[in-house]
Amino acid sequence: MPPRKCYRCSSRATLLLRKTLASCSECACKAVEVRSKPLMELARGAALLDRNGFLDEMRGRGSSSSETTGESSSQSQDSRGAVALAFSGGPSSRALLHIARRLLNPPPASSASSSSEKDKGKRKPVDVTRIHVIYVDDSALYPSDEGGARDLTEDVRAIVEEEGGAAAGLDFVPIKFEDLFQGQEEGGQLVLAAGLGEEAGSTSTSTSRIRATRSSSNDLSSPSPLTSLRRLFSTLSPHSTSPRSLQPATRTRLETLHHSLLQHLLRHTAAVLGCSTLLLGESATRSSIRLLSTLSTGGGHKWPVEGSEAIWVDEVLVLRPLRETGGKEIAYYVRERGLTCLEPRSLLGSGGSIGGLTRDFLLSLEAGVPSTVSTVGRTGGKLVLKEEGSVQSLGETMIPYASSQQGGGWDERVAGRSGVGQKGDRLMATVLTQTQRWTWRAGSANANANSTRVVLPCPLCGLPAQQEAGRWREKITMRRMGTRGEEAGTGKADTASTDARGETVELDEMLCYPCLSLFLDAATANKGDNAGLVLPGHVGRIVEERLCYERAEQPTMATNGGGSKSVQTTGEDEVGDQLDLDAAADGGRRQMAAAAPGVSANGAGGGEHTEGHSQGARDEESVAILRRHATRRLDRSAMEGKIGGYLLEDE
Amino acid sequence: MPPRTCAHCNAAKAVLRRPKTGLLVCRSCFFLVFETEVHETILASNLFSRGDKVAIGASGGKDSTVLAYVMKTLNERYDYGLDLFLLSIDEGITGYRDDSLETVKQNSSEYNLPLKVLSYKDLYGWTMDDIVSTIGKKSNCTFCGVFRRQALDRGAAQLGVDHIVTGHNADDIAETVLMNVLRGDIARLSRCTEIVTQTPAGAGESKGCGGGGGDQEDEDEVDPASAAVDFLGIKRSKPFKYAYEKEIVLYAYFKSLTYFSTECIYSPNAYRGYARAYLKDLEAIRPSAIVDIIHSGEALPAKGATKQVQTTCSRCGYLTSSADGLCKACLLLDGLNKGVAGMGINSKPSKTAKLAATNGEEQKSRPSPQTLRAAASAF
Repeated sequence: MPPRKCYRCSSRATLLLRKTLASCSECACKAVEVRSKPLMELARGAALLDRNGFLDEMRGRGSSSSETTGESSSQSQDSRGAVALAFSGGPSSRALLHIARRLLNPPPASSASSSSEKDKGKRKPVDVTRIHVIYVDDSALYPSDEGGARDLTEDVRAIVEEEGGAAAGLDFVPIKFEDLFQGQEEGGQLVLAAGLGEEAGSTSTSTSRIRATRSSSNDLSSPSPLTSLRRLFSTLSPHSTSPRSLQPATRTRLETLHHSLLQHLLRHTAAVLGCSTLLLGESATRSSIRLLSTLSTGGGHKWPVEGSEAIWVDEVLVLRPLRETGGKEIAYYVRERGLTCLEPRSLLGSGGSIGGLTRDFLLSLEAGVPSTVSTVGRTGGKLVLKEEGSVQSLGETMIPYASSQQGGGWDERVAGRSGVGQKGDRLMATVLTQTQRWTWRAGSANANANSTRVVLPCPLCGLPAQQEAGRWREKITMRRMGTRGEEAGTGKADTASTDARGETVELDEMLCYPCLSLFLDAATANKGDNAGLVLPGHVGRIVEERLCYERAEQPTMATNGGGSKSVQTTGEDEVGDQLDLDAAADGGRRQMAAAAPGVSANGAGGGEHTEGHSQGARDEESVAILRRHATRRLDRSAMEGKIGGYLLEDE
Repeated sequence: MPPRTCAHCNAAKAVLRRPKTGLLVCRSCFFLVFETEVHETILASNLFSRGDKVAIGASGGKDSTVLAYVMKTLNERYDYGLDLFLLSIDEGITGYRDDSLETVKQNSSEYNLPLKVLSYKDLYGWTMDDIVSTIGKKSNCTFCGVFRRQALDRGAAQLGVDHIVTGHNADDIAETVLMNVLRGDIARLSRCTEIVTQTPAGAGESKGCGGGGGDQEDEDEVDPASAAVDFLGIKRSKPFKYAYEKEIVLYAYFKSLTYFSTECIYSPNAYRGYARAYLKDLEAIRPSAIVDIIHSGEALPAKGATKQVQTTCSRCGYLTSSADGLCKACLLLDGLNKGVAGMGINSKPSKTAKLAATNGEEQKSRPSPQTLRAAASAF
């Protein structure tokens, strides 16, 4: 068989991209870079907007003085135009770092401030001033008796230096995972009051209240961030005595929590560093796996924000430039370019989880149907938030600036402002008009959306949360029947009333569906022994902001049917709303009767099924039916095969 | 170890662990909770109105058997005021459907529900045995699914019912969500978790769907338009949307209901099988995964997933969104009758349509060698 030729340059092919498509080494590498270029251009455009003061409004820096004066001080220019890049040391982020450095081409750190003057004519105009390479050290989460516990910060620093370091405009920013628990001064710490447990082994569709209380972070008894982090994760970790069958579920919880917190930490760090953009090295393969995993854990509603290839999450533009590139192509790129990267290590170790299962499933499917990953990726890219208007183009959400510049479109408003020519102006206009922004803060999206209900964030993951996620679970499982009284009557719920300011936050009314499942499952696994668990600092901040927002938007939310009460003083809990079986049955009958116009609640024509239909009568019916069916022939062995795991031993 | 008590009544001995919630429950509480969940689903979606005539799609399998039993029970217990019927479709699969239909007939007499059976042979002139012998096992589910959906509507129209309920359970819906993601079917993904679908108002006004009166049909050449039966406004719903398949089996087991449990003999190793296997693995890891996927699916509107404009089939009057004016069933039937079974299935219908047209017109349009030479000389 003759050697295959590259589909681009007709030279000898060395890489089989698909069954019918072969490529030479150089073309394959160029293709990876070309595919990521459009999103890198958005990063440049966002940096230009930042350098020209357009983003000040959404950062809360007051009116954009730079637009009115046309000038900005050199000091503020220094801190603007920076881009953050999440770097784990793995192949994807290593490839991303290399591509970002080449395409964004930041100036050396020492000359950043004056590059526009000194290097005029020698190099391209500067738009991205710096790339902050953020590495999150999560070694504290690994058991110390395993090899993975070593802090890899210095190894990662060496890789950044290999890419050029400060001389190439790269700033290495190492942070610790436990930094999540820093900065709790604003709203005080939130401490989990009680996660009411169920019987061990019960599954996540059980329902409980998740309450948290505020406590001062100045309290001497407050645990250190490291202790808080370890406690949070150990609450979800496999218990030494827990059955092996429950361990995959536990690993799934760890996986979900780790991912959610890491993403939030990265976005938060990028915002703190003043970066306009956060670059994530998520490949097409990884993105498809995450989409399926997210759907499987009930998080589909937030995928349009969580998985988007380009979206402003509040004030940071989150970009995934490698989302069109498969994992194998990235591995090939890293090898061909001779890039050093670290072995990816897994927090979960060996064993199953939803993430691991999904990865195996998708990769095996991809082996037979090669377009699976790209199809799933494209499907995910077409999903939108259910609440229309809660995601808008960046320009539409920048109300103060837009209103101050009446007349004309963004093309006209940015004309001549980039300082790098018409291409720069067009780039800024593109970012303003074509990138979407999800935000919920008063005065931004809501101001434009008029009557549209804003999707508020989940305090734990910081991404969109649906209202009343917990009630949805209760509604479809009838879990509350006969068990609500137990929950309300436990002593742990009362513990909340004695803390701090006597204020209890009903977290279950604020958390998104997957995060709520996390807490409920953890409460189940630990038999409710979660009291005193300190939550990451941002949880308290987001809760506080949500409460402020809800108070400010109360009239609007009331008309839209939203805005449930989230903070209760202890003792106001609705203990009395518990359902019992008879009440449910009677209520249901009344509702059906009421739904029929002109029919009385007693039910015309249904005299024997009136309100007096008692449990005893139903039992008699059941017995009668059972007797009628008692003589039937059944293939019981086949039925038992399907349900055997759920029958107790003596059945 | 002492016997464990029911988590609901705290009195009776628990006999099973609910697959959906993991709670230990006794037999009577399980029955009541299962039925109440279905009742709550019906109420929350406002599925029925008093006096509705409702057809229960009955195949004789576990889902439809339990659905018939539960619908009858709830109708009496909560005084829905519904007229219930059983509606069954005979696909003509020897050794499978003939046996399961016996189960349906047994259920009909036990539950005292009128039964209507429609057969593919009467409606379309083809049985599934005939179709499989013609096209093989590949893609035969497409024929069966399309024909069955239309047959149910026709049967419902003949019975004069307002509503068809089917036994699709939570597992089925979750599988469909996954499958639509895997194959990138955005339009279906956006609507596959809807509990009710309904014939759009105004559609099908020109003609009835026909096909209902089997005695009016010629077995060789079906002319469904000859029988005008109005099927407008027939709703379809899935009261078991949140019911786990395992709980349905448990319910049938403890109620000792009769159902037919054999898989269809023509069911191939279809793409759905991958989604099903994945879902079972997910459920093993995390039992709530099924409802979690449904929860995700309910919140998944997609860009550009607008509903297609529906018109009526120019031949039988059934709904279609096809630009050529033929419904899917008529297109498939055309293919079968003309010996081009791939028509309507293959991804490039234009080729098959051309081929069908060629065969249908007895090679009238095939160019002669002289014509070809003349055409070539023009270049």
